[in-house]
Amino acid sequence: MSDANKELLHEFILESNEGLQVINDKLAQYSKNPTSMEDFNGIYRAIHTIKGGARFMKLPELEALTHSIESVLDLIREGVLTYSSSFNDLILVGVDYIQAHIQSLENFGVEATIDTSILRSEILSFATSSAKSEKSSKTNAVETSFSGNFEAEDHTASSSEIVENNQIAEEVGEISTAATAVLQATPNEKQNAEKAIADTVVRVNVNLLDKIMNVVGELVLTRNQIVQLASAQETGDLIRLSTQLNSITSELQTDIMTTRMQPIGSILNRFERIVRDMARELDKKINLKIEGKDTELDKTLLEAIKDPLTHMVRNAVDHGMETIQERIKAGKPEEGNVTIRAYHEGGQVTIEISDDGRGIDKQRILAKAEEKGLIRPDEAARMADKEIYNLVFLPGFSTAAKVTNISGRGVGMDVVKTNIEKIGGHIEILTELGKGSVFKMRIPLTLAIIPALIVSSGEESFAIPQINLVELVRLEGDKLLQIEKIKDSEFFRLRGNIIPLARLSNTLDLPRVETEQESLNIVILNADGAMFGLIVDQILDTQEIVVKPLGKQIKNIGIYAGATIMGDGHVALILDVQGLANKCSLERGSGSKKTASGSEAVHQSQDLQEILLFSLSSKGLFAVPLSMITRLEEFDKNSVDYTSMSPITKYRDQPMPLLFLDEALGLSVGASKELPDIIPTFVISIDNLNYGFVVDKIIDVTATNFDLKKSGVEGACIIGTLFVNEKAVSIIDMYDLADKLKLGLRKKTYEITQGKRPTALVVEDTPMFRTLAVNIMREIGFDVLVATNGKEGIDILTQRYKDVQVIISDIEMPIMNGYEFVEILKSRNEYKNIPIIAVTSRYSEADIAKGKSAGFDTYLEKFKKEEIINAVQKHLGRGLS
Amino acid sequence: MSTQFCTFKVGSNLFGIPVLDAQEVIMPIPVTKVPLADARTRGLINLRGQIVTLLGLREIFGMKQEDSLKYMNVVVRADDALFALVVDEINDVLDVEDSNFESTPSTVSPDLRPFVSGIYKLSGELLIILDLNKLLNF
Repeated sequence: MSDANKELLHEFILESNEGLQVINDKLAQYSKNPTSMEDFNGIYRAIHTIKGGARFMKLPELEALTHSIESVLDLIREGVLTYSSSFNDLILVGVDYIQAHIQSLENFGVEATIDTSILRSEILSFATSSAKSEKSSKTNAVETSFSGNFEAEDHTASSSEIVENNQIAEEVGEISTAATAVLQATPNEKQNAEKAIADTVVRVNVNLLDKIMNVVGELVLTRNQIVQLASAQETGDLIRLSTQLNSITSELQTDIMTTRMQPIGSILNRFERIVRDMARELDKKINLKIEGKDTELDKTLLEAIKDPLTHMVRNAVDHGMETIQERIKAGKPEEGNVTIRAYHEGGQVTIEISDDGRGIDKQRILAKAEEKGLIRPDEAARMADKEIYNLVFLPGFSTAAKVTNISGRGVGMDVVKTNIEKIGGHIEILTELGKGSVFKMRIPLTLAIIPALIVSSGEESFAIPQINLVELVRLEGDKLLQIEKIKDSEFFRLRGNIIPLARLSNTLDLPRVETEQESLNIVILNADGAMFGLIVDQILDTQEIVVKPLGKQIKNIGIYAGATIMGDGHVALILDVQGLANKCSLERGSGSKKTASGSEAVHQSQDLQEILLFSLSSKGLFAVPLSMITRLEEFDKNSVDYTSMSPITKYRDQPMPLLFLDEALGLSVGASKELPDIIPTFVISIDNLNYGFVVDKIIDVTATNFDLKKSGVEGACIIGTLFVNEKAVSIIDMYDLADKLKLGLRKKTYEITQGKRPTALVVEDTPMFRTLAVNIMREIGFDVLVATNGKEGIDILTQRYKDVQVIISDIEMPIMNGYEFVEILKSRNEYKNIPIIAVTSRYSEADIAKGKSAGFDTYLEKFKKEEIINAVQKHLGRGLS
Repeated sequence: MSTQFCTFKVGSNLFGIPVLDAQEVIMPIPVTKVPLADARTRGLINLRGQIVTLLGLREIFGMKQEDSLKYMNVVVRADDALFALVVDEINDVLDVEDSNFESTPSTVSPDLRPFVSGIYKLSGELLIILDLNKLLNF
C-alpha cells in the first residue's frame, strides 16, 4: 500500500472508531428515548460517514454493510418504520460487524473475512416485514431504498419472504454470537500485527487547544510588559532573563500557532482522487484544478469545513456536471472543469468551488420548493434570484431525481450551511444556467494572534493589523505643505502616486484637539489594492495582539475588525482597514460614487477611476484622469519666469514650462494673460519631462465609471462628456493635446517592414479607454483592431490572428471578461504566442498574480502610456514576425 | 411553581430577568467607548480577559441619560458573546409564583413594550420581565 493510501486508511480508521463510539453512545440514549431526533441523526450521520469512507477506500464489504444499516435508518427517518427493540439489536449486531472490519483493517490492512450477506438479508427481511406488519403502504420504499446503486442480487431472493418478528430475533441472536466469535478470534493475531496505528497520533480536544491559545495570548501580553519594564532597568541579569523569556515565548507562540494553522492543501488533496473516481464511475470527463493549496487555516476551522467541502465537491461532480453526451450536445468541450480555489481576502479565507457544468435551474428549484411545501406560490413569484438559489439550503430540500449513493441522501446542503455558519462563516451561490455554478464559502479568521500597529487619536488607542500597513510617514515643518487640499479633501503624494488622506479623528467623530499642527503622522494603508493615508495623533507601538470577536451591534458599524486587550488591561478596538477605506471614500467623493440604489460599500468591481475636476476661463467644467497627473500645485506668480517661448517655473529644481490649458485647447480668446497671484496647475509627465498645465480653478477629485454621454470631437482633444452631479464635464485627452503641442521627445515608431504597418488588437469595453489605447497604438505605428469585450476579441482573432502582433486587454468586461479571454487565447495554438498585455484598474497584488497565472504576459495599471509603450516594445523588440 | 428572577431598577421601573440568564453582577469598571456606535452601545469592558459589550438600558428604553458613576452591570450571555446591561441599581433575587404572571398591560410605556415579555404583580409595584433575546438583538 502506498504511503498516501496508508495515511488515508489511517485517517479512515481513526474516524470510523470515533464514529462507532458516537453510535454506541447515541444508540444507548436513543433506546431510552426513541423520540429524540438529535440522537437518531447523530447515529445516521456516523453510519453515513463510515459508508462514504468505505466507498472511498474501496472496501466493498463494509460499504454494503453500512448501506444496509443506513437504509433501515432511512425508513425510520421517513416514518415507514418505528423504533423497536429488535431494531436496536439488529443495529448493534451491525455495529459489531463494522467494528470487526475496522479492527481487521487496523491490524492487517484488509477487511475481515466474515460473511455479512446473511446479516444484510436479515436486515432487509426485518425491514420489509416490519413495514408490512405496520400496515405501511411503503414497502416499495423499502425495496428501492435497499437496492440503491449496486448489486441487489443477494437481497431479491429473500425480499418476498415474510418472516415473523420473533424468528428474526432468534436469528439475530445467532448472528450476534457469530460476530462475537469473530471478534474474539482475533486477539492473538493482534499481538503479532503492527502496533495499532492509532498510537502515533494524539487527538486533542478542540476546546483544550483554544484554552492553550488563550493562555499563550496572555503569556504574550505579560511578556510584552516584562520586556518593557526590564529594558528600563540597569540590572544585567534581569535583562538577560527577560530576553530569554522573550525568545522562549516567541517560540512557544510559533509552535502553538503551527499546531493550529495548516495549509488547506491537506484537506483539498483528497479531492483529486474523489473526483477522478467519481468521474470514472459516472462516465464523465472532469478536470479538477486546485488553487491556493498553501492558504493556511486554523485547524479547528479546517476540521469544520472538511465535510461541507466534500459534500459540495461531490455535488458539483454528481449533479453539477453534465455527462459527456450532454456537454457535446450543448456545444461545450467534453471535459468539464471543477475548480477549488482558496485564498485570503480581507481578513477572511474564501473557498470557491466552481464548475462549468449545467448551472442551477431556478424553475426546478421553485417547483421543488413548492412541492415540498417550503414556499407558497405567491412567494415564489416575488423572490429574487439570490433568494431562490438559497432555497437549496433549506432542510428537506433535494432536487436529485434519483438519490444516489454518491452525493448522499438528505445529508444535504442544509447541513453544509449550518456547519459553515457555526464557525462564523458564510456561503453563497452564484450560478448561470447552462454555464456553471460557484459555491463561495467565506470563513472569518477570528482566532488569531496578529502583529499590529497601535495608534492613538483623540484619547483612544486603536490597533491596525500590520498586514495592511504599507509605511509610516511623518511630516514636520515645511514638509507639512506637501499635503494638498482640494475642497475638503486632502491628498498626499507618495513617490509619484497621489494618495487620498483621511483623518482618523474626523472619520470616527472624535473630539478634535485644536492645536497648531507642528507635525503630522500618516499611516499609509493598503485596503485590498487601494492605498490611502490615515492621519493619526500618535503612533505608539507595534505589538502582537490577540484578536477577540465583537458583538453584532459593533460589528455592523463596519469599521472594526475586532477588539483586543492591551498590556494594561484596557480594551482597544482593531480597525478594519477595508471598512475604513470604504467609509472614507464615500465621504470624500461627491455623490457620483453612490449607486442608484443608494447602497454603500464601493468595491472596485467596475472600472471606477478618479478624475480631477477643474474650470477654465471659458464656461463649463473639465476633467482629466487623476492617474495621469503627477502633481497638483499652486505656483506663486513671482516664481514664474518668462522666456521667449513660454512661462517657466521651477519645479523640483528643474525648469518646467507652464502651459495655459484653455489656450492650448483653443478656448480662450487670445487676450493677454494677466497671471493671477496664485496659479493653480496640474503637472503631467510626458516622456519623463514635466509640464505644468494652468487652469482657472481646481474644483474637486471624484470617481466615475466613465459613462460617456457624448463622444468627443476628433481634433478638439476632448474624449467625451459625462455627468457629475448633474453637471456636464468634458474629459480632456491629454495625450492628444500633448501630441498637438509637440510635447515630449520624438515619438518612437515601429519599423514598417514590407510596407505594412503592424496590427494590434485592443479589447476594452469603456469607450474612453478604448480610444486612448487605440490612439497610443496608432501613434507608435500600429493599425488597430477593436473589440468591446472578450468574445468580440475572439471573433476578430479567428479571422485576423495572422496579422495581430500584440493585444491590449481590459479585465472587467461584459459577456466575456479578460480572464476568460486570455485563458482561451493561451489554450489555442494559433493565438497563444501573441503577447497579451492587461491594462486594468484592478491592481492589487492578488489581482496581478491572478492575471499572470491566467496567462497575461504583462499586467499593467490603467492608464500609463509610457508603461504600455514599454511593454509593447519589450514583447516585440526582437523584431516583427 | 415559582421562578426566580434577578431584579434591578432602571429609572423608576423594576425589571427582572430569569436568574439563570444572569451570569454575574459587577461594579462599574473602565469602559472603552466605541466611536460611531449607536448611543445604546455604551462601550466595551474587559472581564477577566473576555470582551463584554455594554448596553445601556436607559438608552434602549429611551429614558433620559445620566452621566452618573452610580450604576451596575448585569452580565448576560447570548450565543457566544457576552453582554453587560447597565442598570441604575441592583435589587434582590425574587422568587415569584408563576400564577401571578400577566401579559403586558397597557400602562407599560410603548418604549418598553418591544422588550417586555410580561409582568408580575408584586405587593406595591410591578415587576417587568424583560425578553433577553429582543434586548440583545436590537
